[in-house]
Amino acid sequence: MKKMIAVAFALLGIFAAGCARTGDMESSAFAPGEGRRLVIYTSHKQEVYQPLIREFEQRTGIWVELKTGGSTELLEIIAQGDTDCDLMLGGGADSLSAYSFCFSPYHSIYEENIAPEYRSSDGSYSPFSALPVVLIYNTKLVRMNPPTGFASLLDPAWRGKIAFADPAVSGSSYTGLCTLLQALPGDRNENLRCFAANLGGRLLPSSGDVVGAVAEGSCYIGLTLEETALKGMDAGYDIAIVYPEEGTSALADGAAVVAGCAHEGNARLFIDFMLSPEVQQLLPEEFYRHSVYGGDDGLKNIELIDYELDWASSQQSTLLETWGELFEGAQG
Amino acid sequence: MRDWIKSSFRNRIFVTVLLVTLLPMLLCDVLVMLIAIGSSESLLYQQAGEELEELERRLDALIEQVDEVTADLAGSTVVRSALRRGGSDSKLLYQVLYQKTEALRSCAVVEVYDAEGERCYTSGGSLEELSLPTGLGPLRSAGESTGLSFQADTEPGLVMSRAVRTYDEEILGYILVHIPRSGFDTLLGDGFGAANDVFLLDGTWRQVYCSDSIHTQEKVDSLRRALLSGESLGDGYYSFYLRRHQASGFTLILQQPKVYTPAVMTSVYFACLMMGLLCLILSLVCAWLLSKYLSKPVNQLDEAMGRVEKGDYDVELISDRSDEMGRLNASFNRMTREYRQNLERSVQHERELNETELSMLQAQLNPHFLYNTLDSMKWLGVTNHVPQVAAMATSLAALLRAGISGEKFITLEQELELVEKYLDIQSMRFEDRFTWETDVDEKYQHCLVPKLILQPLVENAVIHGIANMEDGYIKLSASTRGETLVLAVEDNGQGIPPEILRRLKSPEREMPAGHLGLRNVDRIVRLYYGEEYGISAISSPGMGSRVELRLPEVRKEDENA
Repeated sequence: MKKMIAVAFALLGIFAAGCARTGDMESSAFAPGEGRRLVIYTSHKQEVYQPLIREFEQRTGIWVELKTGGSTELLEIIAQGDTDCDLMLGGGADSLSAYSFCFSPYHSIYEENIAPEYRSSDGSYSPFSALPVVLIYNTKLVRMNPPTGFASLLDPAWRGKIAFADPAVSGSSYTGLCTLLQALPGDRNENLRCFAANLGGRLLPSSGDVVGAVAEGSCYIGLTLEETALKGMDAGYDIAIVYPEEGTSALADGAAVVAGCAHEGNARLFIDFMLSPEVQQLLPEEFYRHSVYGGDDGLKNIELIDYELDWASSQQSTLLETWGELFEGAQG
Repeated sequence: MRDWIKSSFRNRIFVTVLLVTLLPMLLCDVLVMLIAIGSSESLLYQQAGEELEELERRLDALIEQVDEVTADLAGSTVVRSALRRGGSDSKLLYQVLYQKTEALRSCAVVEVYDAEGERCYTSGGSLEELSLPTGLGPLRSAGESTGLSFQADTEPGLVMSRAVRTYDEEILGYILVHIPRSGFDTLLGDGFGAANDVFLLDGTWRQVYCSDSIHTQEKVDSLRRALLSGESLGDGYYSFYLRRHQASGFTLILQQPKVYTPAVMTSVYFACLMMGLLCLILSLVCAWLLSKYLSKPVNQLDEAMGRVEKGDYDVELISDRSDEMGRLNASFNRMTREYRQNLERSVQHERELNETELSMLQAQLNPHFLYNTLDSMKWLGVTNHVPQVAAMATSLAALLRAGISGEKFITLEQELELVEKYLDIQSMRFEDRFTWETDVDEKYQHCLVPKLILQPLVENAVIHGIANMEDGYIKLSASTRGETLVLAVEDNGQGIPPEILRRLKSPEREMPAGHLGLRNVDRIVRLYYGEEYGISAISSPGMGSRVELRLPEVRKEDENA
């Protein structure tokens, strides 16, 4: 009796084992080893990271795993420490240096080629591309007297017709605001108050909306990054770019190797690849960005101010607080 | 459960039959399912292997062809000189291009780029201005390799590139062969089952081609994610078969829909379960009926035995079987029948004994009265000086006392005393016309005999033997014949009439009135001791008679024991 029951159970076991079998071939033989992997967190758009990563994979045979998101969000995840991220790709030089404690310093083999103003002092991050702040205007609506510089943004003639994203939300918008304040002569607080008043209560929710708002005519002029503006122009929008006569900033974005990551060697390889002459050369052609090599012709023609990164970082909270109050006042 | 099984013969049969029928059926049920699934899966596996081989063969053929064509073009002096000269209007180059790429053009576009990455010639449609970076992508890999290099195209598709070099290895330009999705559709489309899908992924599993046009990128991404996270590629609905393509380093994946998807498996399990349940029900019914059939005679016998134990001896098992059970039934019937007969017999004995006892009890009233009267007579005889009357009354009283006493058995000695009293009376009555003699050895004196068992025999000898004689003689003797005690009463009288003698020998022993004493003695002895005991007589007319009484030799001590 007991034997019979045992036999019955054995049969059931065989049955279950038979059911568990699948037709899959062993796929683990195709998976890359740890030495051929790299985990990248990026805040770039797909059109930027995809060709870069494909080319990197093609060249090195390293398998890149990707996680995308906002730069602040990704940096926060990295700062919390519980992450598999090897490389943070994207984010402004200011943001990356703010989180320098998360990163392992690395000086690329192309460090010498990088213009000194873009190099990070401690090597915690490596710059990737330079992004100048520019003014744009609608070429259909503005035929006479286009804006010439940051001073135009304080000109009451443009009151309520300026496209500007909320600096509390958009990092590039904050950079634009700081550039404006640093480039204009006179008291920065006064200029800040003046600019807030001149917006006439209009504030766009995202920096991506600036080009659209100007192109469709709801605003006449706008403050944005050159990359966004050039993309808009290529897409056929009727807008024109004005490089401010007072000079403008061209802040770098960059990449950084996460301290204690699993694939540090591969992450460094990616930084070297990203700073390699071939890629840097492609930046203006393919990505509407400027190389950080400094030898870039496009960037040479732009008047640049000596952007005070430290001031921008240290004043961020006070500035945004004042901005909030002023803007509410302006709205009222 | 175990106790339940052991509690009855039927339960044992039931469980055994259940197991014997259910297990093979369940086994078959499971085996059929396993074999069905297994054979279908191995068929699909084999099919997938064949399809992958075919796809690989086609891919090899394509690459071989492209390799040949591009090598021809790169080695062609026409191409070299046209590239060296610059421009994009060499008719000769177009002639060579079209001629060489004739077989390829159904699925591929062949383009020629100059050393700066400008597109100069194309086998495809219009020649729009296009330049590719030489430091990246297909041009870079072509420049770094001497042979054909492979890359996933920016649009899904494959791009193969080869550099055109001068004899001193200076790069003059590049030949690119694009195979777009549609090209692969033409090339591989009929190489695999219609329900299947094919993925061609590059070395890091980026999409080169996917035969399914919907959600392609998501599928590729999820496959890649699964591979990198070490999960199984297959889900409940598809099996994936992988093969590395050696020449390109790409991976070919065949996606095959599973026949046994979770939904199908659920219904298969359900069917299996239902079949199992059906088996169970069938087995239960079979086991029930069979156990009932097999255990029926045993149960009947058991039940009949139970009734017999409770005292019902009229049980009779009716069976037309001729097997062991039939024989057992017959034996049972025989046993109960015999038992019944025995019982009836013993009941009859008991009844007869009771009747005798009753009649004796009834008879006790008179003896009491008689005894008292006799006692009075004795005293009357004594006071009136008639000693014969007193002696007669005393003897008669002794006889009566013995008759009404409760004891059933007395010793032979006592019995002989009673007989003597009787003979005393009779001798007075017959005025001493006969004599008697007792010849009983001392060793028989303590034998137990039924009370007053000799008296009727002596009476018979006196009344029917010597009554009319002047010198009658009666002799009492005792002897043993084996275990049997033989008491004999002899007389020298006129003998027993032959008629009586004949009746005495017949089994019924019916006696006419006047001779009932012999019959009664015989009956009493037989009732007490059995058929083998009783009386017998030898006699001839005028020559006296001898009546023997056969009893078992029981001594008083034995009785007590």
